[in-house]
Amino acid sequence: MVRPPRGWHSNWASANCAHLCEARPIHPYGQGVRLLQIALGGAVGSLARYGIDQTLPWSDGFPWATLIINVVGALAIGVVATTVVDMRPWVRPVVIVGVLGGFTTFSAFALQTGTLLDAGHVMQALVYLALTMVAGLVAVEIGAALGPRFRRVTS
Amino acid sequence: MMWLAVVAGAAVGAPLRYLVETSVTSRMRHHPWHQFTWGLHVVNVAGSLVAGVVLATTTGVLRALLLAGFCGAFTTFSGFAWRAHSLRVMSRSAWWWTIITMPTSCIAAFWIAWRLAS
Repeated sequence: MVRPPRGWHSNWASANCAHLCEARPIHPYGQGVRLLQIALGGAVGSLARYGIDQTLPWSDGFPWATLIINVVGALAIGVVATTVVDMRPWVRPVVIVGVLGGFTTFSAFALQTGTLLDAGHVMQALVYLALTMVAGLVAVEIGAALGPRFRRVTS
Repeated sequence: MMWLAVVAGAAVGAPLRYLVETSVTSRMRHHPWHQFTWGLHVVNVAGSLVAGVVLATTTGVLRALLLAGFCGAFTTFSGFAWRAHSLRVMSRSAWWWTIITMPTSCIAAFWIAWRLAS
């Protein structure tokens, strides 16, 4: 098995070239700087999520806050990943991995669905599950379809 | 002070997600099912497991640090949505496998961890 050089291994282009399989230049900074950028973005995104969670509390009803957070995050990653991601090298670690990755969450979704199921609110849990999946996947498609239009307008 | 705990947990969780996801994706790239989202599955299932344990055992600031901060930043829905978008174009079977197994495995992982820990 031929392994690529060490720098390529941890590089974004080789790890995540699923959508556009093309060679891209290695980023100008190392792994440490990238991790700091991701930590910074993740802190900002998680703080925004915590703020929305506090304003729309999930007491005993439907977990609207996490649903809105995940759907908005899916829409945003669709737009950002097709629009501004190649403009600057810091956009991917800071905005996509950091802010959007920290903003959206799967653990709260699993927690809420599992707790609803455990409490016997099966219908509510199934509606929440279906709504998150369908709305999230539709949102990312809408974002990915809108992104290139923004790009044409801005450039 | 709660928000500081969230920030501290997220500052650890987000880089750790990047490291785990990229290393798992890189390791599985020659696997016959390399299009399956191994990295995202590892990250989201592990985060849901930790969330189950945390929900059962902790409270207050520690819960905010680990649940809203660490687990929230360690797991990701936007990355899952973007990978689903990529897979919808590349491989329809991998797309189906991903969107069906991701929520079910995460909910099962959370529920098992929560039940065992409490």
